[in-house]
Amino acid sequence: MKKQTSLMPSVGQRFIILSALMLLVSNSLPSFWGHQDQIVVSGLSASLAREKSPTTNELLQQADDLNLIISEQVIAKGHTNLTVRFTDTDIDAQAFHSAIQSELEESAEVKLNNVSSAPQWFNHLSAQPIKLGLDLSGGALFVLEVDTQVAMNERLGHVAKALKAVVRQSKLSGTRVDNRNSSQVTVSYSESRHAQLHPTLKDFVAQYDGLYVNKVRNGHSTLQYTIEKQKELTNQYVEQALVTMRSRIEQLGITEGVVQRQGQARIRIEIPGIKDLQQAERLIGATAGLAFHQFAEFSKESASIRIVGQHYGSLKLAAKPIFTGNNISDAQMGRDESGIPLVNLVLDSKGGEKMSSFSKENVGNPMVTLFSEYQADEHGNMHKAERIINVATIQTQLGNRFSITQMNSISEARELAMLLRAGSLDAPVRIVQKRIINASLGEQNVKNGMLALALGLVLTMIFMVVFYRRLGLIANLALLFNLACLTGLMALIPNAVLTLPGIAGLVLTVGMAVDTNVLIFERIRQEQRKGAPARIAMILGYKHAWTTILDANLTTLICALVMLSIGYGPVKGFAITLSLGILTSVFTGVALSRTLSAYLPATWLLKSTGAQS
Amino acid sequence: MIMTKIRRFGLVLACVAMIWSLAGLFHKGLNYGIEFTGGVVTEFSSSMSLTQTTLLDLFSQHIKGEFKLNSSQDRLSWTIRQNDHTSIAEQRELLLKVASEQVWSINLQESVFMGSQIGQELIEKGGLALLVSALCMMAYVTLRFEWRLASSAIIALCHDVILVLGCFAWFQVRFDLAVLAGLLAIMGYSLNDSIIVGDRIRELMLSERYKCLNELVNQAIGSTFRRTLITSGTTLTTITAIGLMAGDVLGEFALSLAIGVIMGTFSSIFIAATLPVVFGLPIDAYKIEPEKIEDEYKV
Repeated sequence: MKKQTSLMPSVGQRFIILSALMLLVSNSLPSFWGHQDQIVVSGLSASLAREKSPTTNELLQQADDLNLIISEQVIAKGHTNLTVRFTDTDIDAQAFHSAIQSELEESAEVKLNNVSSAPQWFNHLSAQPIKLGLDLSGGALFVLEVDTQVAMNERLGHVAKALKAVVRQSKLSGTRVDNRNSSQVTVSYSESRHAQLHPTLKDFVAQYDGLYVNKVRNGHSTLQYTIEKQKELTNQYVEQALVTMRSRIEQLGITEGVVQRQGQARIRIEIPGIKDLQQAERLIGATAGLAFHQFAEFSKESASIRIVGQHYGSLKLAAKPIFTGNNISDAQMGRDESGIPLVNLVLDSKGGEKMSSFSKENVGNPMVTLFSEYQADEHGNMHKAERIINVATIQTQLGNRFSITQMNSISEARELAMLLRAGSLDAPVRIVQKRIINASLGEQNVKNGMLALALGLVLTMIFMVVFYRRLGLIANLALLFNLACLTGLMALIPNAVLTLPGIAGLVLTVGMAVDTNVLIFERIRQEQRKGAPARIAMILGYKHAWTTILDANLTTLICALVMLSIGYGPVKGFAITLSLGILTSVFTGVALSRTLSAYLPATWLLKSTGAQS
Repeated sequence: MIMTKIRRFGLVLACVAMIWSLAGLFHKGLNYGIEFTGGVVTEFSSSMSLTQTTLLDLFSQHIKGEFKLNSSQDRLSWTIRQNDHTSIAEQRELLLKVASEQVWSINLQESVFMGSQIGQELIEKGGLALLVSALCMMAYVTLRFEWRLASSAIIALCHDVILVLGCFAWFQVRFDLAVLAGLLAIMGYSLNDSIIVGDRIRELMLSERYKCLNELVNQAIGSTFRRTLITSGTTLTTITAIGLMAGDVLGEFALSLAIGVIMGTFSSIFIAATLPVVFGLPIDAYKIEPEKIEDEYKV
């Protein structure tokens, strides 16, 4: 190791320190301005939007009173974006958004964004303000549980139906297939049939990935999924629900919604600043799905289901759908010639192929649109309820576009279209946790948190100056930079959200960050006492304190990381600021304060530290 | 010598405190917040100051199951908590119905619903987190220190956590998720303090200037004492700031941190530095590691 004769880091080190500092501090700046709401109407110029939407007209007329910033951007020829920015945060932008959205539903896309209110030139730095958690911004929190068991049962139900058909076809009379036990399909048969049945079962199982036959005893076998397959399926159900929830939140026009997986089978949805809770709750909890079936009598497959409906009586349908709602890429509400609401569908390529080949072979045959929904019974168990919403005769070969006609009401058509756009769920969900935080409470929390931070900061800084005089100034400067760096780092990291416990972590970091400097300064004092001259004492102080600083911070970092890995909600918010705070406080406390003190004469810094006793 | 005696006395005191805490934990148990127990909580404010008993009598006529009422100092803001068999809507309706029959009125605020199953999981997860971080720290400390120093630091850490839990149990302070986060932070803080004293003990042992271990430990404590006081001071100051400014939401959290920091300072001296002597730490424990000595002389 090279013997160090100066506190001054090498040119390369100084460059790294300076650039890290610049990066973090510049990223922290937008956070001081906060957020504003803006409504973007894409595809319409201002004049057209005013013409079509009375609310827009009204809003633009009051632009000055409401402190709005209005801008029009030409994206491409004939495609203009109208942006209305609300500089006054007290205005309920959400209400305007939903009004304009319903008025312009058929002609333009209307989005509500939350953007940085920092001056424009910050955008060139791509710096964004810190994202605020629900407890600071107000909003709604939902935790959903994905009932994968119900979906598994249903899957096995399909398997059982298919098996029944196979058994019937192979004329294996005396064989009973049953899936009353939820985790498996049981097959009971007379023992004489065993030799005949066994190969049939084997062939059958081979069609399904992960399914196997288990002979329990003579005359009794079960079909079940391997543990790995069960896990895989469970995972698929949850992942699919996650994707669906994300797009449902998007359908609501909310861009800041956070949809995360929480543990095994839960999904956490945070919607900041939401006003129309009922709609959100209905859409989030909706389990509706669509499937298109043909009548059993026209189907080549023998497995069938029987649906009893109000309008259509009892129908026997092929169990396997032609295609499902998952193949739908777009759905829009519309009206037919006589004004009855309908939903126009656009299929994706896979669904289009299925539809066109099916309709080609089945011109003149009927096709049934089946609507399914999970409903909870009085014990809270989920059951699938299916009803037929439409039976239509195929007139010609169909492509990837067609409509579901004869919807009951506009609102039903609109919500079905929304759900189809967002995708359906393979497994039902239920809300297990719900929390609604008033925006005013959020503001109160921000205010309290910031006051705590200011108070903690001021007291700590006074403390340091009283104890260390001029060295204390260095520590205080490092502390301020530490806060700026931490804010910048939080803004940079995509998933970091500031919550009230997060602010508490910030305040606590202030108290603990000075420890690094205290350790160094105490060492310097002791070296001075031993008789070292000021400059040498400074060098030795920084050097000797290093291992201790490392040890001390690593242990806290371990704790913070454990918190981060298990925690949700308050634990997580706290852990994020605590762990990032440790990183920045070591950086500012050691690297930065060392560089700072290198630029100042050691004797001046150490004057009146009380070490000469 | 007086220092050594004080330390021994402190160690005994720490043992007594631990027994007191454990007794509280087993006798009274923790007063878990809604995140852990599950249930429905609604906040409401009343138009006039009401007494706890008035409301208790009133609600018990309408609510069949168990429920809990809490109020702020001025008896104007209240929270009511029921188990998760009821729903947010039911509870809000019931509150309005009860109030409609009275001369005063109430104003409903935030409502929270939490399934009890999640709560149970959180308790398990929280316990696991405490255990995992204790194990991680144990691994780290044993790697860095001689086993007697390491185990003393870990015992000091357990002491701090148990004492905070004990205080929360005896005084039935609400134990919510934020307090759990506080506990984990305390673990980090406590070990931090112990390590700094331990580091100094190790350094003095390497310097070979001391003949008597007790004297060496006293010297190590003495030379880190100012740092311990200053850091505890600034940390406690900021914790107080949280408690004063954001106390209505984070009061319990700040309290847990404050107890933890005070206990952490106490235990770093009276447990982490005192126990190794009791465990029979030889004064030349660090001499047999030639690499370490070499390392230290490079300065």
